[in-house]
Formats: sequence, C-alpha cells, structure tokens
Amino acid sequence: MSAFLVRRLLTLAATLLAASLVIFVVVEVLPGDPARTILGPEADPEAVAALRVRLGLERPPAARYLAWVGGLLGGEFGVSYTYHVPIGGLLAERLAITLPLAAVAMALTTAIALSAGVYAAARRGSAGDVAVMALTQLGIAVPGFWFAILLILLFAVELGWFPAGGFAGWDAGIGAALRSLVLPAIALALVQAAILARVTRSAVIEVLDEDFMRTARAKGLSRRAALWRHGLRNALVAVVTVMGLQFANLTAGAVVLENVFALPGLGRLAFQAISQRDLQLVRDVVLLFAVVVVAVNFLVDLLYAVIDPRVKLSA
Amino acid sequence: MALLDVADLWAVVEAPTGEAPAVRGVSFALAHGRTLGIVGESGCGKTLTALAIMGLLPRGVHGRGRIGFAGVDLLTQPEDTLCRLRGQRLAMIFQEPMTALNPLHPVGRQVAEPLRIHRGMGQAAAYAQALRLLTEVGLDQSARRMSQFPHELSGGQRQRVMIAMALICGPDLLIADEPTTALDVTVQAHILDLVRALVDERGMALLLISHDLGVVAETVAEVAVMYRGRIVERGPVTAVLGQPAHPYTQGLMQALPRLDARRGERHRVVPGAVPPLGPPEPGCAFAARCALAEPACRTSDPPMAPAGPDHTAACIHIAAARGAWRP
Ligand SMILES: Nc1ncnc2c1ncn2[C@@H]1O[C@H](COP(=O)(O)OP(=O)(O)OP(=O)(O)O)[C@@H](O)[C@H]1O
Ligand code: SF4
Ligand SMILES: [Mg+2]
Repeated sequence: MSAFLVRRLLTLAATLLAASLVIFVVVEVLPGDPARTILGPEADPEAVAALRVRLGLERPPAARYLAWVGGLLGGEFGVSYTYHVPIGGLLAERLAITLPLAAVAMALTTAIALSAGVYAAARRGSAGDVAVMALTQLGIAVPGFWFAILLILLFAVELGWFPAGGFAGWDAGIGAALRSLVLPAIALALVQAAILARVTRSAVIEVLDEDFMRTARAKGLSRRAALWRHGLRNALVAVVTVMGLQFANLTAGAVVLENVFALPGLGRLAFQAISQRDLQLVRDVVLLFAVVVVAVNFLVDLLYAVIDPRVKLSA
Repeated sequence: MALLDVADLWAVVEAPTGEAPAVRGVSFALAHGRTLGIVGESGCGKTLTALAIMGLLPRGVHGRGRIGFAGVDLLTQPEDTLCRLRGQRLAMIFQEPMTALNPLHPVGRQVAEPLRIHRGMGQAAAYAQALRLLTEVGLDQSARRMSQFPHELSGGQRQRVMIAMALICGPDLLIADEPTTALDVTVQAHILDLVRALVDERGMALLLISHDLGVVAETVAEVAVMYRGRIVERGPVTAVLGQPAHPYTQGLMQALPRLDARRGERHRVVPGAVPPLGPPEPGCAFAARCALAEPACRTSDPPMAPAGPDHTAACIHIAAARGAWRP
C-alpha cells in the first residue's frame, strides 16, 4: 500500500476519534435526564435513580466514553431504550434508506450541475449562460424543504406520479422503493446542483483560459473537442473537492427532508432520538453520519490521485 | 506564390473604453522553406500577430485584413477548415513550456495526438511515430518519458516535447513564439540549434518571434521589426541588424549588451517606455520616443520606403537616421 494511502487512513482514524469525543461531550451536556424521559415526569425519584444506575449513567464520563467506543469497535451497539431493539440492526435498516437517497441525490446533483455548468461556461456571456446563472441563483436562494413542498404539490398531489411521502420498503420491489425516493432526492439535489453548477462553470472557465487549452486548439481540435479531451478532467479537480463537501450537506439536508417526506431514514431516526432523549442512539446515529462523511472525503482524496498524476508526489 | 501572405492585418482589442488596435496594418510574406523573424519590445503585438495567423486570437480580440496561406484567406475560412489546417499544415510552439502542456496527460499521448486527429491513426502507430520524433528532437530516455507527465520533465525537455508535438504532422509553416525565453541560456542554445536543424532538414517555413535580437540574428534569414503594432523595418537580417535604418531598430541594437562592453557599464535601453494601447493616432508610432522626431512625423504615417536591397523602413528620414546611427 502506498504511503499516500497509509497517511490518509491514519488521518481518517484520527478524525473519527476526534468526532467521537466531540459527539460524546455534546450529548453529555444536552439537557434532560434519559431515565426521567423514559419513566415520565411523574415517576418516583427512587425508580429514576435505580434506572440511572441500570443505564450506567452514574459511572464517570471517561468510563462511559470508553465503554461506548469499545463497544462500537467490538461491533456491540447496545439496545435502544426507546425502540427496545438492538441499535446495530436499527441503524442498518435506516441506512438502507438514507444511503440510497443520498446516492440518488448526489447522482442527480452531478448530472445537473456538470451539464449546466459546462454549458454555461462554454457560452460565457450568452443568453444561455445568463439563464443558467439566474436559475442557479434561484436554486441557492430557495430552501430545500420549500422545493420539497412544491414537488409534493405538483408531482404527488396534482399528477400523482410519485407518493407524497412514506417509504414503500425494499420488500415492495426496487421500483416501488426507488419511486418513494425520487421526490426527496430531487428536492435534496436541486440546491446542491445549483451550487455545484456555479463551481463547475467557474472551474471550466478557468481551464478554458489555460495555455494548454490553446495548445490543444493549435493541434487542430475544435473548441468543443478541446474542452472534452483536455478541459473537463482539469476542471474536475475543483468540482470533486466541492462534491465531497456537498455530500456532508446532503446528509444534513436528508435530516430535514426525511421528516418532510416521512421517510424512515437515519435523519428521521436522529431527529426522533434527540426529541426522545435516547442519548445512546443519538451518539451512534451522529457518529454514523460522521463515518459516512469522512469515508466520502477519503474517496474524494483517492479520486484526486486518479484524476491528477501530480497528487501522488505532493502527498 | 508565397506560402504565407499577410496583408494589412489588424488585431483590435475590445476594451470597455473602446477599441484599441494592438496590431495595426501589418504586412509581410513568407515563401515555402524561408525563415522570418519578428522582433520588438514586449507588448508590440508579436504574439497577437502569430495568434491571428493561427486563428486563435483570445476572446475580445478581433482580426481584420488578409492572411493568405497557400492561396486561401485564413480570416474568412470556416472554423472546421482552420481545424484541419492547425496542427497539420500550420503549427505553433508557445513561449511557456511549463503551462502549454496538459498536466494530466502523459507526454507521449500529447505528442501523438495530432496524428490521431488529422491522420486518424491508431494509438500504437501514432505512439510509435511520437517516440521516433521525440528521439529525433533529442529527448533523452524518450521511451521512458513517453509515459511521464509534464511535471516530471525539465523546461528544456518540455520544450522538446512541444517541438515534437508541433512537427509531428510535418507542417508547412512553424510559428515559434519566444520558444526559448523561459529557458536558461545553455538550454536556449540547444533548442535554437534544434529548431534551425529541423527547419533546414524538413524545408518548413519558420516564423520566429522574439524580443531577443541575438536569437533572431542566429536563426532566421529575414527580420521584421515591430513597434506598437506596426512593422517599422524589414529586410535581410544582415542588412536590418547590420545597418538599421529606423531609429527604433537602432535603439534596439544599442540596447544589446556587447561582448566588448566595459565591465560595470550598464547596457542602454531604448529611452522611454512603450505608450499604452489606445485608439489609433496619426503620425509615426515612434514619434514620442524618437530623437529625430519633427512636426511632420506627427501629421502623417510614414510609409515603408527603400533603405537598401530588399530592405525597407517606415521613417521619413531614412538617410538622416542612418547618419544618426553610430555603430
Ligand atoms: N487577451 C488580450 N486582451 C486584451 N489585450 C491584449 C490581449 N492579449 C494581448 N493584449 C494586448 O495587446 C498588446 C500586444 O500584445 P502581444 O501579446 O501581442 O505582445 P507581444 O509583442 O507578444 O509582447 P511580449 O513580448 O510581452 O509577449 C499588448 O498591449 C497587450 O496588452
Ligand atoms: S518618422 Fe520621424 S518620429 Fe518616426 S522614426 Fe522617423 S524620424 Fe522618428
Ligand atoms: Mg508575446
């Protein structure tokens, strides 16, 4: 394995360690007592104290942190005290909705943004460019949940093409399951696509002014061929960086949109766990988000090395 | 018939303040297999002249006039005709070998690309020919370097790659824009020798652009001196550099560092600076900096007038200017 990979993997592990510490501390200072939440406000203080002991809440924080991380490393996630099911299975079930949602949204984002951005850059200053820029401005200004409501009104209520919410479940077949993901994925993608289209446009414009693009034209390539063969891959370095960051935004957006669309994904789980003070679940869900984001950024770094031969040397 | 026949070429820069011509009515001809240098200070329009010929003027710069190439006017040709000519019959080497190559493609692929574009050659055949040419232009360990990337090569090696890339389809005309300016002196000499040898051997026409009179004197047979978008003097190198007729050329010659210069003596430059681009004004472009300028210089444009055999200059006092010049 190359030194580049080893270094990246070590950074990844350190990042996750730091994330777990931050998550633990934040959850620790959250107001509210899980034992009292479980037993209700009228509960007998002695019963609450007993439950606190049973939940391990009376042990010192360091011990609880170590027990948590140690458990995760051993594949032991514990049992959710609000859902009364093993957290591991719960997370896997929810991930099976959120991950496909994010993947579809990211694919849509990339497809829309690259075509719009390259189109606008290649026609810099034209009416088409101005129109694309105006649309992206709109896409950035309008919040995702608002798009979601519009999409539901139009495609679910009016046209009835897609369900307005809920998840058909993977057992209902891939088609039905994906259909329930289409509208939330579009709502998630539009904002990100608007941002990424602007990034793509400026990256392509920058590349179009590079000397090697003039060399490509001097070889006899048309403007378009030079852009495809020499420009795009160079512009992609900047685009991929932003895509990595956007994936984190997408997961955050998923928390909101899963609630709008009543999708039982990780985001909805996180929301419910927090409102019910299921602290153990909150920690695990949030850490899982961190793992996803860190893993995507690791992939982005690997992509750099694939795109740009200079990366291996400088890393 | 000349291979390249540029007549009254203008390159006009669109600026927010209006149009500013950066090349103002340049005319010259270059026959098959002949060599011409264009010299002049920075900003006088050398690169824009070359890019106009290639049909690759930057955004916001427009070419006007006539650029005859093998009998057709390039300025009126459709883009796909130009694409067929570029890289095949017309080729150009750029000043900056650092940035003129695509950083993400192996150099072998870049050198072979014109063959694939114009000859529809398969990868293996095109790569084989690229390797032969890279060896011929003196790239050491050329076989290994085929798969290397530009950042793994030195400036001189990259410029050899650029040269191979320009020559691979056997163009009729090679335009070299400051091909050695970015290189250090010893590498400069090697690259110039190489260009000279290749041009001789292949019978190409060469348009060499440089601000360096020494480079021009060593490499080409004829030279045109540009000042503020115009050609002010033209002729055989020996005549123009040996007996310059235009006060500007004389100034350039005096600015050259001399081998016999006394130690510590600062070498002179042409007094004054090139005025910024602006709308065309009447009269001699050099009048603001010319020691011989008189009112008549500022009213009308001095035409090109004979200054010797095949030697012309645009100055109303060619004879007086001669007198003012001391070698
Ligand atoms: N893309 C452009 N847009 C606007 N003005 C330009 C552009 N390119 C060149 N110019 C202007 O046109 C004039 C001529 O430029 P050109 O590059 O042809 O000069 P040059 O003789 O090649 O100089 P150098 O020795 O510095 O390369 C300069 O004043 C320059 O500022
Ligand atoms: S025409 Fe007049 S100003 Fe111009 S170079 Fe000759 S003497 Fe000088
Ligand atoms: Mg130049």
